[in-house]
Amino acid sequence: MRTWRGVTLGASDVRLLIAASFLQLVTAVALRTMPLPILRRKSARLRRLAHTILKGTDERVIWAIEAVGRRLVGVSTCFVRAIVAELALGSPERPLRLTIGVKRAPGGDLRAHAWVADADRILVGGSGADQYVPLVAWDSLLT
Amino acid sequence: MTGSLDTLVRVPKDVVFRELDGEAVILNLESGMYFGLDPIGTRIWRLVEENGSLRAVWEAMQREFEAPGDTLRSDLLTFINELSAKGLVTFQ
Repeated sequence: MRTWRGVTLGASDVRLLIAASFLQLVTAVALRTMPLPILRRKSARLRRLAHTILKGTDERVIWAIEAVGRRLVGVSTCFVRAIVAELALGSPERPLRLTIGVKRAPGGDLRAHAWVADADRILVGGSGADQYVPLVAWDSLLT
Repeated sequence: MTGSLDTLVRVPKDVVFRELDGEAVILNLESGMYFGLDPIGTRIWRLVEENGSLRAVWEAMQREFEAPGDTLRSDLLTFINELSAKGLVTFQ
């Protein structure tokens, strides 16, 4: 047994956290080393990996992605988490929509945010997503 | 390559555009970078999308903006070359 912020974790939780960490690291590296259109073309392999190692209910998978993402400062961004969630939870039978939105911050700067939704339900990145104007959206990472 | 008025300009398919409060936000999916344009830049972007030909854009700018043609041409080419350097337009 291990603990995470005072909560006792079972072996399956630890596996989910490790898998979510690994996938976010791989995705972050991929985003830095290849253009997004190429990553999308190659995402079928990453999706198979995500489905293999990040298995669980929506709630547990999302928990693992967000819990790890908050701690991978400088590596995990909302976009990385959205991609991993889409890869892990999406499928041809269950297309998830990945959206990148933008807004003007109070100082006038542009801010971008990414989130993943199953129909109208935002799975990852939902906090404040309604403040962003969608710029681009994909029903699947696969082109 | 730098643009001239006889250059045709195209927006790559991996560049997406959206207006936010009257100003353009442009996302280059290839580089993952996004950019904002002021209202004048947004209008020029629209003209580029509609016309493709920089000469047509320049002619439209002369009708819309109260500025000498030479100044508009210089500003247009500077702007287009900056967009090109960021991969937001390509020359044909």
